[in-house]
Amino acid sequence: MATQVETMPRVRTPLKEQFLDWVLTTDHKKIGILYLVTAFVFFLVGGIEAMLIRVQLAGPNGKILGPDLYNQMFTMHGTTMVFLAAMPLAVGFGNYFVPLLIGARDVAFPKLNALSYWLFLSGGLFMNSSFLFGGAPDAGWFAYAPLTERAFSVGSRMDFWVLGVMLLGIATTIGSINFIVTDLQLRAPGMTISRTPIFVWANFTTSFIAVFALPALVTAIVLLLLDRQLGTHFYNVQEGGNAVLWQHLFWFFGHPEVYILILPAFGIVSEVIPVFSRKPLFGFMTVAFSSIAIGVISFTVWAHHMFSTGMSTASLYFFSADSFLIGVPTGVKVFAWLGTMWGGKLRFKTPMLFSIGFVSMFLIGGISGIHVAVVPVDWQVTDTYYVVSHLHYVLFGGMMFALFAGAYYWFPKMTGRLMDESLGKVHFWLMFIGMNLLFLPQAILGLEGMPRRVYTYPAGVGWELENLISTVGAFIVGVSILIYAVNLVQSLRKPPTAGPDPWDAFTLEWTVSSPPPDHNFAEIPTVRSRRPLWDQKYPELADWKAHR
Amino acid sequence: MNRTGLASPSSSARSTRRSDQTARVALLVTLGSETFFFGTLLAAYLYMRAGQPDWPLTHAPLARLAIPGANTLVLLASALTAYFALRSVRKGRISNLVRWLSVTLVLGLVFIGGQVFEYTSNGMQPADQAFGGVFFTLMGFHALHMVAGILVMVLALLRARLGDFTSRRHVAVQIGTWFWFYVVGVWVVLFTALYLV
Amino acid sequence: MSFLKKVLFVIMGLSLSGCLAPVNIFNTASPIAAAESRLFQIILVMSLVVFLIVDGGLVFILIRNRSRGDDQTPPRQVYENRLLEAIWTGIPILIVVVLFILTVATMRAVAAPVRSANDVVVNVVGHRWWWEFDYPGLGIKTANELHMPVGTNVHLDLTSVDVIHSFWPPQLSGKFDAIPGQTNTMWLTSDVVGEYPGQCAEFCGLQHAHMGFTVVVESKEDFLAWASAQQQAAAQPEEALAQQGQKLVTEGICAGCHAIEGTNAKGMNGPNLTHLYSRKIIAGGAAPLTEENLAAWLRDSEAMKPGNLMANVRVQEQHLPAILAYLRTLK
Repeated sequence: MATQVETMPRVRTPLKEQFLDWVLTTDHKKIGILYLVTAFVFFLVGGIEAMLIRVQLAGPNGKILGPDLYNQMFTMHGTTMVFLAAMPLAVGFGNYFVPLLIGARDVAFPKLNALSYWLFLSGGLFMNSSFLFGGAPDAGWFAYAPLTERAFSVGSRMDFWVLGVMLLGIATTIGSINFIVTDLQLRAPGMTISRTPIFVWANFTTSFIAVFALPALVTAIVLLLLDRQLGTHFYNVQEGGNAVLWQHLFWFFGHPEVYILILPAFGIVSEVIPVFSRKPLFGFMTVAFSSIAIGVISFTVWAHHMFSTGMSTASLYFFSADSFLIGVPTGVKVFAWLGTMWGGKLRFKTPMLFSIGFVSMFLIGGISGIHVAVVPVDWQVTDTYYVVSHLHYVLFGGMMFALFAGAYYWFPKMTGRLMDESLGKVHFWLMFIGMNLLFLPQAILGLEGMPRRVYTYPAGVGWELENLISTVGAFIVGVSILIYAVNLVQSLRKPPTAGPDPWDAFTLEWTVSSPPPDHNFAEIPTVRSRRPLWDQKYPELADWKAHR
Repeated sequence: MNRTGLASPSSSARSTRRSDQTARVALLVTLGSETFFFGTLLAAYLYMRAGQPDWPLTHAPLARLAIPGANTLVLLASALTAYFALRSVRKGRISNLVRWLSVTLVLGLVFIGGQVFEYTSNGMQPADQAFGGVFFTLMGFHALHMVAGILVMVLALLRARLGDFTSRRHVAVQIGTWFWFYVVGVWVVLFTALYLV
Repeated sequence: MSFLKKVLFVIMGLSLSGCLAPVNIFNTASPIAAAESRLFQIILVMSLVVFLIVDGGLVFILIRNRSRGDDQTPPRQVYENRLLEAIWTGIPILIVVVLFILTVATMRAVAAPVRSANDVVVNVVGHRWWWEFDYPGLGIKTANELHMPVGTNVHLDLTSVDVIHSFWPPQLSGKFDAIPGQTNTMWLTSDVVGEYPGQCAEFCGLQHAHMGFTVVVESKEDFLAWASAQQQAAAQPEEALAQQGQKLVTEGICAGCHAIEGTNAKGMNGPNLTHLYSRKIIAGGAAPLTEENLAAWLRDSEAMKPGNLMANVRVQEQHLPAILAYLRTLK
């Protein structure tokens, strides 16, 4: 599929014009790249915070970070990774590729789209500026009351957290409304709901979850802000407030939030695996509906984060059962991916490696998630390193691996250049090995009684070896990310020879040049199936012939 | 294009319907989100109240309900006038539209004035134990939405007077009145939950 | 449960336990923790099976379906198989139903029994950053160590005076939160005499890492002996140095936060010191109780436990010997 590369004379636009172009852009592709680059920088920041944590915990009675700095580190690590890295990375890919996937020229509200980005950047900078103004937030990314009340969180650290998260919440809500309207209204002619690419289904479901879940977070933090600044008593027990109210509100947001994180990852992997198996996604509609099911059920499981708070037995039964239930549509996806690969002709390029890594790591994370849904088991392992292990298997082994798959997959489309395959493979293997060294021992630590969020631990209780291995794993992961960064920079310098369709892919984004022209499509295409490009290239095997 | 009205009918009509629908979908999604916001605030209120048998406004004397009750009637009336405004523009009667929008606006302002009077005269403070905070937070956010609704109505009124709307092109009026209905609806729920129960 | 099953569980528990550090959730000393541990072992086995099947399947597919060399023809395009999808939806549903049944069964097995007159009741109060244990029926107030007799139901009423903490003795039970403004109940019972460490398991600020405690399970006679010793007021010191120390402690700043029965010290913010020297750890487990550690704590507690709530209290060197002499008498 190589195309002739037309060499045009390179016109050097003055730096100022380029800068303004990016700052004032309302083009979804540029906004997508802004999101991706900014989020990647925050990812590195969060990664450094993690490295500091691991160095402090490498040995007992660590003296690298005192408790105050440690608490800031783990709070900012969590907050940064969830709000400033993972979510915006997914939004970045969504921004760039959803309009292309549905055959549109841009999103429904391009100016609002730009606003979302700048709110995100402001929120991130604002929250991180706290380091310069008395210290970063230090009560955990989940900020449980009453620890976060004025009496126990002195100074303005938690106010930075509240206001920063508020900005980010507004940015995400606006962006999600934009995506929903785009997905519903701007699909190309012929693209019925069932012919919409799976990544768009994921984006759509994610946006719906966000639109309904983020208000709960806004409520929670508004009430906290009022308590801290106006002296109200929502969470203040002495005056009739309720300490557990925060947890209900936060987790009503917090649980759907983790599906906001993972559904785009599912979407990416569901696009990549078929391409590199040279077969369609197995059981497409089942996979699509499983996303909807997950989205709906995700609002009914929040209290499984609260099994130790003294809930009624009936509540415990309900939330446990429901949490088991949500494992079913998730499992269905895993089988669908296996079914897609079965009988296919698998090409192990870097995007595919990361997708396969995703499947096996997410499987482990999902299984440990089922474990914590078992109430009596959760009573032992909640708030321990077992949960830290679980959450990182799904969010790092899961979401980050999928995001890297997307990055390698879509890099040629965004830049016209191919990333280096060998470096990509080294990145994958190092990250895979490092990740398991980092998080598997943590599961063991949880079983051995190590609680979460402790700045150090004593010698002689038997936690040293696992912690040391975990720290070594962290360094290996760090090296792998450096390799990725090197690959990224080097590949950007190569000549743009990727062509429109380097992977022999299926969907509309691969029908236009790499990078796409300003208005995406010279003419809006009409589609007859889920895989319009496949139909074009392999007319005898076209989907529409099989009535898809 | 609205003012000269000389574009080719079929494609522009289709794209108008398309962009109108986009605006309506955007509003509906936004209102969905807002419902979860008010919903979680209300849930927080109910949760806190469940733990406290002695809630200040339980069994409030009828006189206590006079002002907020009257304000409720004012707001309900404004919903009716907003509906008349929408009906007028659908029939192309722009002068009626202007009239009904103005009445709606006035009623909205009366409501806000009435509530401000109620808050300043009932002696409650936000920091009054748990109740004060909940009361003023719920009322406060509703008030913010009222202000937003009023601004949207003002905008619609100005555009109506400039002749921007026709019987076919008036999605801004539709959005404005739907939002107004929503804010009135939220008030009814809040009034019931905070004053009547 | 059949004899064979029991044997298998013991073997598995020992192996798991053997690979892990001595304190772990499989090395149980109570029927509560044992039930939780057994359930987890069953689930771990089920998980291993699922993992091997799915990941094994994945590896098999990867090997078998890798694209070979220059074969460019696309494979057969298969879109779905409703039967297969129904099966792989149905089997997980079945699995989770089984898990739910197991969950309910274990929850019922470990549910707290009704309180009876023979049981011991302890009020567990979480503070930043230490655990207070009060025995209302026995008139005892102590800290850091929870003593209980073997083979008895011990009911715990958990609460907190500040933020949310969580009470977790892994070898005896799963954890429950100590929440200000409410009382959570849990129970303990043990058939094995021993000392079982526990941790605070809910992030509570700067010294969450140093909020440990010990549950001391002892014979009924030993427990009664401990209890009656704890019920006594503080001994009157006979030695002059210790008397000097008593004066400094009970009339000085210490009395503002600490209580010593039988003296003027009636402070409620810090641990009750009446029988300080009967305990084995100080400062919420930050250090074992030795004269050296106690001296270091009194000199500069900030260095041992940064952010602790008596960090501003620094005992002057000249007063230390007297104070230590007095504290030594508080057995």
